[in-house]
Amino acid sequence: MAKEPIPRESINLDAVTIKPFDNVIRRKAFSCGKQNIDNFLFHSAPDQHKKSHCRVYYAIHDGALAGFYSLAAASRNADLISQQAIEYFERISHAPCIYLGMIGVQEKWQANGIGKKLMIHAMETTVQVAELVGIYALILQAADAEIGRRYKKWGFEYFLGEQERPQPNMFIALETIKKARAKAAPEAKS
Amino acid sequence: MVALRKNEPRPSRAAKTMPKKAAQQFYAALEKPKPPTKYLKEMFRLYGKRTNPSGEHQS
Repeated sequence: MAKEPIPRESINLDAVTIKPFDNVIRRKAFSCGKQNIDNFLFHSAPDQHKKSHCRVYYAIHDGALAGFYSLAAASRNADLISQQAIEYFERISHAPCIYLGMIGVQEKWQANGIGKKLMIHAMETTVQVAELVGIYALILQAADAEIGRRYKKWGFEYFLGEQERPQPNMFIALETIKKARAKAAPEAKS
Repeated sequence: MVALRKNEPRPSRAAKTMPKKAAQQFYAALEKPKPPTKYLKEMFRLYGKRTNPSGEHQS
C-alpha cells in the first residue's frame, strides 16, 4: 500500500535558525521520509557529533527540529574525482575534501527552502574550514539519480565515470563555491 | 594502499607529448575553476549569510 503523502505546511524561512547539534532539542518527532537519514539522526548523530567524528548542524523552527546536515573531513583518491584533481594532487594522489554526509528536512516543512538554507550553510562552513585547513572540494553521495540531477543544478559535478551510477559521488570545487559566494555578497569575501 | 594503474598515463604526461599550444590550452582549462551556476549564485544571494565561529547563522 502506498504511503499517504504528508501535508505540507508553509513556514517563514527567516524564522529558521541554524546552529550546531543540541541534545536538548527533541529528535524523535523528526522524519524526512528517508529511513537511513532519520536513523543516522536518531542513533549515530549524537555520538559522532560529541566525538567530533562529524559535526551536525540543526535548522530550528519555533524551537523544533526542522532539518539537519552533517559534515566531516574526508579525502578521496584524486583519480576518482576529476582531471583537475588529478593535476592538483598529482604528487600526493589524494584530494582533501569536506564530506556532506547527511542532509534532511522535516517532511511537513519540505519545499520551504530549509534544505537550500542548510546547503548554503554547509558551503559557508566549508569555506570557513578552508581558511584553516586545505580543502579541494565539498563532496557528497547522492541518494539516487534524481537527487543527483538536483545537485547538478547547484554546480556539483559527478566523480569521473559516476554519472550513470544509482548513487553517484559528486563534488563541487571550493574555488567554485568561493566565486559564487563572492559574486552574491561582496561584503562576505574572505 | 591504492594500487597505481601502471600502464595508464596521467593526463599531465599525455599533455607533455602534445604540441606546445595544445598543451598550454590543456593546462589553462585545468587551472580554471568551473564557474558557479546561476542557481548557485542565486542561492548564495538568497541564503548566504556569514556564520559566526560557533556555527550560528547571523542574519
